[in-house]
Amino acid sequence: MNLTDEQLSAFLDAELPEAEMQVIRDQLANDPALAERLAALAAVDHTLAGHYSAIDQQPLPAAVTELLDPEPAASAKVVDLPRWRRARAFVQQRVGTAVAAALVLGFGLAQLGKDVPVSGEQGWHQVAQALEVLPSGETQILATGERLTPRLTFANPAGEFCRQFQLQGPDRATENIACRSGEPGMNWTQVATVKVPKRDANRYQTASGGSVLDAVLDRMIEGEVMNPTREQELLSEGWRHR
Amino acid sequence: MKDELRQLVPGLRRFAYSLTGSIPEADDLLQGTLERVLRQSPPAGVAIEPWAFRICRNLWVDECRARQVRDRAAQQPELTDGQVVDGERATTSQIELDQVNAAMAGLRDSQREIISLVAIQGMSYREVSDTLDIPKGTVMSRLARARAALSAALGSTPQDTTTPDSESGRRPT
Repeated sequence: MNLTDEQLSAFLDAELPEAEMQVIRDQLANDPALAERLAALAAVDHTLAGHYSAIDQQPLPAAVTELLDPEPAASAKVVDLPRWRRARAFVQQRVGTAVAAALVLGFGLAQLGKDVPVSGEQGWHQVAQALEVLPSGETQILATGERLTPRLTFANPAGEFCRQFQLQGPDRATENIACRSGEPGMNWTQVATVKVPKRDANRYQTASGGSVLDAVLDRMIEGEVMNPTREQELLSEGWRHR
Repeated sequence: MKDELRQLVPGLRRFAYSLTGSIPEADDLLQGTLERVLRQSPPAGVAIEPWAFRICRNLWVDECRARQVRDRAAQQPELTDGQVVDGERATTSQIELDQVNAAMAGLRDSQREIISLVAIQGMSYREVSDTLDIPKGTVMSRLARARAALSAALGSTPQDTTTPDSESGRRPT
């Protein structure tokens, strides 16, 4: 029996009645040329699936995520939920997947607290120094031994610049937000802290909806999250407003 | 509906990419599709997946068909008034398509959408039939022709980069 491409194709998809499927199976077993033809047809599917799933690696455009994001909860401030998520995608492209994945904004066991993330004023002064000049995505080891990594920079509704950053110590890690008042001198004030269980601190997770820090960010972010160019301008010009 | 739609987005996006051959165009098509889908619910008894894919495909046909025709013409030098298809003086982004995109672009629209739904989205013939509103037998025959054509187009040339005048291994079908 001379099998047509149509039959082979339907066989590939298991779309023939079982009796026909069996007949073809038997023939394939005895006919290498037929098997090769089947393989060639199957290879087409494989190539297409592989090729076109490459788009999965590209972040979704903001316009699309905005269409599908859940409705923001009612709040006194104008909440622009999608913008900072779009900014995170932007940062993702800029600083690489590993760091982007480490923009951990959703935790299993997060607790929102106002604890000072590092002990003492000296410790906080070092944090402030780092926030003053360290670009997002880079890590600095403080004298306390903790590792500080800023994540993103944005402006809050009061017109202050704020940064989200991770602090990682020997036995704990926190995700934090601090804001810089316009007063002369480095005047960073801690706004929010979320403890990260140590075992999760090195495991990269992407944010899911509903994390407490998300809610804080949503309330705080006004205008765009800084792209790396804008951030670099701020860092090198001492955070002068434009 | 938004939750169900969110689940469909990766598949819709890959489908859009397979139809347009370009990531920016795919995302435009995706957005247009989602906007339409969100504007109206599917008719009673119609599942959201075939309905959403149909909308995507119809939008593609409406908005991209004209562009497809121009691009296909560009791949056949005899139709472009003697304009030499030369990588250095590429006049359309289709020239830069890689081999797979070029092979897909060489298919008829009716074949391209079917092979995409089956090979990439993994739809059954019944699901394709529902999505495109065509008989199952038609799905079967067009799909086979698509696979055969792509097998010829893809199987005969080296895996690496296309050269400007190799036409990416397309053969007359």
